Amino acid sequence: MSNLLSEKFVTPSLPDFIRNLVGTLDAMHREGKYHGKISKEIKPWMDSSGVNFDRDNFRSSAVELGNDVEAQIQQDVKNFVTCSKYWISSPTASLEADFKADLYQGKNLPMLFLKFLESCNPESGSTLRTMADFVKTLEQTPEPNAAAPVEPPQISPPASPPPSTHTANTQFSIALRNGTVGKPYEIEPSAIARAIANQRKDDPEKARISHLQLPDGCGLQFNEQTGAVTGIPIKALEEQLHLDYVPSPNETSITCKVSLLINPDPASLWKDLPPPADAPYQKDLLDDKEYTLGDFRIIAASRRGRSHANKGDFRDDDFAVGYADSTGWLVVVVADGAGSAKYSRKGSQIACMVTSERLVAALNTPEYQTISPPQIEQAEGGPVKPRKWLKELLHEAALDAHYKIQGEADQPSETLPEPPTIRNYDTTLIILVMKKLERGCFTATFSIGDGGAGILDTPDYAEPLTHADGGEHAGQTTFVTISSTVSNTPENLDKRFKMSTTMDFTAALVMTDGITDPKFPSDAAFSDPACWQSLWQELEPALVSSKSLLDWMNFFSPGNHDDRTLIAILPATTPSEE
Amino acid sequence: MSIRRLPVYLLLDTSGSMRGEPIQALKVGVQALVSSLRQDPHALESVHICIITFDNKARILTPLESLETFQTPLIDCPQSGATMTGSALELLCQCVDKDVRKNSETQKGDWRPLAFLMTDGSPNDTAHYNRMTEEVNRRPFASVIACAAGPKAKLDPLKKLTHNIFNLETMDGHSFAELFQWVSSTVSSGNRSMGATSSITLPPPPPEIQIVV
Repeated sequence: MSNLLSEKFVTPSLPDFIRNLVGTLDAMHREGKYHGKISKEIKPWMDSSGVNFDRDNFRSSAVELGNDVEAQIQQDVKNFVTCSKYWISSPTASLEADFKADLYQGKNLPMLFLKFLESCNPESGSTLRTMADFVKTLEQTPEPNAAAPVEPPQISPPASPPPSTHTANTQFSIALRNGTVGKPYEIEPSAIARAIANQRKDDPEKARISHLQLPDGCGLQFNEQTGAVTGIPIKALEEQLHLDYVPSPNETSITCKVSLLINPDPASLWKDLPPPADAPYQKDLLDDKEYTLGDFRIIAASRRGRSHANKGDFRDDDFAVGYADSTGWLVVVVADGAGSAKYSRKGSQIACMVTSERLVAALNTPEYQTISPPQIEQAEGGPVKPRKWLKELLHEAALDAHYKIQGEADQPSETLPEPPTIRNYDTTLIILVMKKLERGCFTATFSIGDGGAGILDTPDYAEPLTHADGGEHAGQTTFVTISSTVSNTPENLDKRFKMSTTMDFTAALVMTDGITDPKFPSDAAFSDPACWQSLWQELEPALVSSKSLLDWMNFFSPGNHDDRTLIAILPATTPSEE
Repeated sequence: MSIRRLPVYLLLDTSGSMRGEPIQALKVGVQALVSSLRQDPHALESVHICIITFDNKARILTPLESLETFQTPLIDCPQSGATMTGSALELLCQCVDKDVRKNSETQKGDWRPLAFLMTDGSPNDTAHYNRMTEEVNRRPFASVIACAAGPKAKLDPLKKLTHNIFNLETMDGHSFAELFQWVSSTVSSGNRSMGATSSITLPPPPPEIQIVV
């Protein structure tokens, strides 16, 4: 035995050394000592034996195997092999085959090593290899009768989902699929037993789980008859669970561990943080207003989104409503400041104020009194002025917003830590002007960016009034602060300007993307009257007051937590009609 | 309605030099990242994670999967060997082309993806790497962030890939925890509206991470 290994490379007393190692590991594990301590204590006699032992690697290879001392030691010996540059002489072919067979059957590894090393034939004259290489060789050549190859020695705690394979003994890893609080959870009958049986190479048909310890009050139940796990999780957790596994009816149960992760319900995680009190451009987190203006009743509400509240950001949306009382034109503007721009809350505010004031002033002049909307409509395609006037008017209002924001960036109205650029005020802009006709309504819109407006003739017929600017990906849009969006080119204006005359009038809605994203899942949906109809059914009962609209706007839709602004324009009801 | 996803690609160097404590620290870092993101409601609903590891070759360790169902995989590394960073970038481009949904008439597109590359060395496949940095820059990333970890990491190759380079002096558990905490806050800022071409503004990194200009 003393000439087992070439003296040229290592101490001749390797088997004793291995035996010592295993014994020490065993003792220490049973005493509940930690891996770092173990590696510290074995390091000196590793060194004195002339072994190149990578202590850090060995220490970091600690695997959570709980109280299973056998499994710990087996894993440690494997790790020892990968962390030590020991040389051994090649065994004879038959020994190698025996060893491999044992390995595949998941027999006790430390004993295997002892047996194997003791029985190596030093006279065989074969070449020398490291133990790690040797183990690798064994694992790379599949054993003829083995169902599946054994994985290389793992030095990481496993957490892969079933049915990942692991070493063919009690060291296996099962993670139950993740759950989420409030969402029904199910693991099919027998699935856990099968996954363990497959890893252990037991017969999955015979294996069963006799007991699974689920945390008290977690909302999940384990059915001992079927082996299914079902229920609705009620609390978030990340835990190792104990279970009793019975490989076959004739065998006794083995206690092992599985991991389970239950995600929190995202809705429970939102924080409601106030924005910093010393930040410039303070703004209310909620805003709501009601008006009766001529022929129209307007219910408007704007609220900070959960994603903003969660980070203590401001409400970046804004809106404005104006009315030209001598001509009967209504002006409604909404703007959505970009989340990526730090002063967008001011940008949206300027955009709404500037455009609504300018449009009210312009539309209040007698020339707009005399332009009856049908004429405007007839003008389409012809060289007639009214359409052009309105298009120019709305465009100029948007252009004005652009310049006023530029002015704010050049000479900020409040003290800012550093000079801003216009892009710090990025905001979308949707302008809608409308006039009541004898039966229906006339509307003209100019829009830059996302969100949108639409009009319902009747509760079941709607027409979109805007076309959103979207990029290839979510969150990509354009802003009034980008000069190309307010350029005077015919292509740009035609894209942004739209007129419509309806025969009837139930409501017009102007919304930021905090509303359109959850309620219209695609561009196609925005043109689909059915989507407008269902939105209207949901919305109408909330339009009793701006406060109740504000409440409705707090609806929950996964992934949609932006600021929300909605302005509903309804026919004014006179007391006699009620 | 399918939710708009925020795809996050982690490219992790698992070459031989990462063996031992660095790979353990990295793994703990990834776990911390995932746990931290699980506490962010927006991330929990939208973040999808894909892990690509690279050493002698690049491989998809976990395909793009929602944070909700994601289970931290085993991260292992070979005894020694090359660092095929170029192959990892190639794989990244393939994944992005395949995974990331674009806006169309009938579906809402995903958020623009984020990519984080962590390496403790330099690419061994230099020519391929240089070609692939150009390919990556043609993809719609909201941000590509490179982290040079440890004393042997080379900065020059990373500069071809991105302007966002960070240097982690030590590769211990604490440094990785800080790094991934920061990555988490970066991911959390990835789902918000922005211009069609602009990049997200990164939150300030912790002091352990040096910004490389």
